Amino acid sequence: MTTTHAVRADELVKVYGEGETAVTAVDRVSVTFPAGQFTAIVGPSGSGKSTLMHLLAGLDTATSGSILIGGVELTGLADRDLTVLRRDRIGFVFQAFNLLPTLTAEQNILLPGELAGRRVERQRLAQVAADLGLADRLHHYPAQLSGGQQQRVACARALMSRPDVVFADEPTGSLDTRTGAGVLELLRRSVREWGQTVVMVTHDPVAAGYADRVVVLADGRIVDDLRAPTPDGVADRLQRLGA
Amino acid sequence: MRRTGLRPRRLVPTGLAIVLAVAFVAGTMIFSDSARSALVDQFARAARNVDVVVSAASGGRLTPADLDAVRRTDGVASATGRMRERLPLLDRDGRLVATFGAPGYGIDVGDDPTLRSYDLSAGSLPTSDSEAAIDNKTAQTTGYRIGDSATVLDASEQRRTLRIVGIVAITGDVSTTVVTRATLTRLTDATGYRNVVATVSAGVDPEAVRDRLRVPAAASARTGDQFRQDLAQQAFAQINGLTIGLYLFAAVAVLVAGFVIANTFGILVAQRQRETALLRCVGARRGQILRSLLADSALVGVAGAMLGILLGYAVAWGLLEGSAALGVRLPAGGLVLTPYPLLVSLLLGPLVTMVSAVVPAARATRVPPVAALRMVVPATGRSRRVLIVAAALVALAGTLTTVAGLRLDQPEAAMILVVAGGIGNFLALLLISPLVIGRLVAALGWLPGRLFGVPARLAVANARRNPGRTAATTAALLVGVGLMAGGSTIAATVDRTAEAQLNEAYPVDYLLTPAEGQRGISPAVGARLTGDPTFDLVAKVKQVDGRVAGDTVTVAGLDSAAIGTAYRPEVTAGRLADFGPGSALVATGQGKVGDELPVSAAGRKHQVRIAALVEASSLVGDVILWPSDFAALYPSQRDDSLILVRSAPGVDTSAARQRVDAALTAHPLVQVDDLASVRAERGAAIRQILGIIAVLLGFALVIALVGITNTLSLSVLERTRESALVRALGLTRGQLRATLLVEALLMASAGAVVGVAFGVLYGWLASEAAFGPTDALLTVPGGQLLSFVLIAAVAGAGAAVLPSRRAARASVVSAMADA
Repeated sequence: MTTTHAVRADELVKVYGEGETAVTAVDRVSVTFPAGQFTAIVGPSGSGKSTLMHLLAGLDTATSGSILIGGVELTGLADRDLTVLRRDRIGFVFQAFNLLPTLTAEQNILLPGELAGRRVERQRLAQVAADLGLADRLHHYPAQLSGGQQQRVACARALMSRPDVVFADEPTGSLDTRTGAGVLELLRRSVREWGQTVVMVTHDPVAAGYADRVVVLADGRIVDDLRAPTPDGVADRLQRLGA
Repeated sequence: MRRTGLRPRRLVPTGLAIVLAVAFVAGTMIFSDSARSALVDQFARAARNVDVVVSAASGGRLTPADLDAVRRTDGVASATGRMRERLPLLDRDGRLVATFGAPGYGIDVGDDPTLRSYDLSAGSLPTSDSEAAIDNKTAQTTGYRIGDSATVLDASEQRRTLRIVGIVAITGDVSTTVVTRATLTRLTDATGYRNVVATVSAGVDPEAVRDRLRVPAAASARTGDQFRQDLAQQAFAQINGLTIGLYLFAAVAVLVAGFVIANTFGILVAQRQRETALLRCVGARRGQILRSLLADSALVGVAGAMLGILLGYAVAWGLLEGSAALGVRLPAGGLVLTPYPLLVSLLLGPLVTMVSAVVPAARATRVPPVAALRMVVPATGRSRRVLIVAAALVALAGTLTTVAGLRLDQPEAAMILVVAGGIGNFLALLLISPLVIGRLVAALGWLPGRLFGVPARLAVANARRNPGRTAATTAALLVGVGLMAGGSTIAATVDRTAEAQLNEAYPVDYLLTPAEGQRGISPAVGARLTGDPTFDLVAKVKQVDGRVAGDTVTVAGLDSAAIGTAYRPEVTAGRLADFGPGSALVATGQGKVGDELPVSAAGRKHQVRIAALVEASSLVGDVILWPSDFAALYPSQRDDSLILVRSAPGVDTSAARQRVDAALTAHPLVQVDDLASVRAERGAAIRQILGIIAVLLGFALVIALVGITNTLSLSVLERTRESALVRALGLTRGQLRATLLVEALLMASAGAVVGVAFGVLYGWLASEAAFGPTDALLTVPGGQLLSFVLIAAVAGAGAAVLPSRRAARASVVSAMADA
């Protein structure tokens, strides 16, 4: 039943450097992310969680293994095809520097669609903007928006085209707790209400607590896979890894 | 404080700009020195071995008695007189050999071989009455060889045949024939010398001898050294125009380099703002930061100057080799390296970099220490209002100066004022450009945005985000393209206006005028041409000098058939049709239509009624009389002063020219201006000027493009994260490259478009001023201007190649991790 899997990785390996100095960042990871689920990838720093996300999202190329996104094999794709795949099938929310300073919020939201040459779906834009509380902020430039508003614009951009999967890389890392909670709530709502698939990388147990499932990574391997996690449970699991 | 954090690699473009500018300056100086030295060597021939010289005043001669007096002077070892008289030489077809309309000269062989003003190149010197030597340039143009017979005209215009026995090398362009002294006297009826040159005895001071010389009235005495210097000055006059032009372009190159350097430092300083603030936090004083930045710039300047001198040597070599193409013939000679260009270059390099870096450096010192702690450093910028007010004031001054220039009647002063006004308005343009460049870029980017979508629109947004930087980058290009556009507009306008004036005033094919030194053209010439069916219009103009109300004027008599056909003056008052016996056409400013104008000429006074007022024509005259009136008033004036000839329709131009030449075989001392060839020559001259402008300003363009590369590279570094973001979101490598390419293209075309607009405006205004009262016919050389814009745009795109490759090469993940 591959169709229900938004993202699927098999025996994924990423090695940096060669010979004696070689470092294995991701070590034979096999994992599937079912559609319509909110998954958090957690782990201590250096655990390879960011590298794993970069591989899954086609930002970096794996040393070996395979990745399927919406049924398309990523490994072996040329840079151009990878770029097009990111544009059409993936949404991104980064920790910071999510938006182009020279474009307005609206232009930022519409950027991937325009790059693809798609017609602007005005109705969808209005709905997303309204849902994310950005209706009156669309013509502002990023510098005129607060940090939380900027992250909401990034979320709107990621959700706009109903991608196969949204990758969020520490989306609340540079926000205060309350604003961060708002963004996480937003991501959870997109999964619950619109059936969106979200994969989030974080080191924050509280953030992970918003997810349906938590994949715990240590030394490049998956060491745990928690369902319906609680912040305390995740924190506890991470603590044990550190010990 | 030794380190400012400016990485050497980022200073490479600054260094490159200074290398190019210094190379131009050093090259021009070395070329100028070398050309001078070659010319001095050549001109020194006439002064070789000469210790003292006595020269007759212009038109005067020194007598054999004067020569004897020099010989008898205490300290003089030997002396000789040098004769130089007009001696027209005819070519194989019997036509006059002329240089700029002037017939050639004859000189005597001279008694003292050491004091000759020429060198024998081939054959021997004339020893008998029937022998002559000619100079090598004349030999080349006429094809005369040793053993040939050549014809000269004696004082009574009789043909005399001489056998050529030798070819000589002599200074100057005028055709020269060497004959024995007796022959020269016999041919020209002249005795006496132009110069008496002498050597002094060993150990005697030439100056003392000069002071002892008994110098006749209206003559002057000089030492050999003074003589050499004067000859050299004469020689330098040939190349002064070219050298001044080169120095002007060198100044432009330095100015453009200054823009590039200021911009680079500005960007570097902006990028290092946080680090500078950190330095301030840990205790660096403002002065220390300023000094370290200036020290860095001085170092770059010195390094750039040293490389620039090397390149300049190559530039000088190229100029020397290519000077023939620039319209200056130089005698052969190697490059001459004096310490002066080296010194100037070594001072200029660091000076330009430091002066250009001082403003950005001073701005860097104003960064508050607290900026180190902030996430976003507030951009520092001058207030818009100050900028607008300053620009408005400068523009007002520039415009007033321009208008004043246009109202002035003296063309030279008017041109200077207009150009000064242009410089003022240009400065205003530079001041205001940061405020308007954004809109211009947006306008220029509209079409690419439509055509190429997101990459082009991102490029527009990027080019607009830092208007000051974009403006400074385009300014360098603006200067170069503006000058090119101005130059070509002036050239095109001058060409068309001169052509129109020529066609309007003289709708004829040939102008016949007396050769220099002749008083008139024999009536036989006009009579023969009139009877020739090859020509359908032969208008003979007779002239006498006269006076009207104290002014010297030319009084002319003109065939009535010529009025309105060969001679079409611009009428300012009255009607040409009213011109007839008893009346006159008079140059504007001498009275009113219907006035009786008192004219005195040739010892007679009479009154003429003014039939019409016309624009003065230097060729025809100021007071034009009906032919019968002229003949009655000045019966002794039989020779024509000017003959205007028009070929009948359908006559082949070379056939017509042959008929003209045939009519002149009996009267060779007539200069023929073939208007078709005048037009062709003018066209060639203007193309040459345009070529020079293009080549030299190409240098400034190269520097400007270095500036674009530079700005883009630094911007690419600044935008590493952004590039990574858009790559993650779906911009392909090719699209990222396209974004930068379009950005460069927009900057280049913004500079080029404004430069062309400004250049055309001031090119036109300058021509308007230069032509004074006559209206200049504005001609916009559209093709050329378009090519300037295209060249600038293509070159701009070329400037983006390196930065865009670097940007596209970066991997998305590492770029995001970086900044």
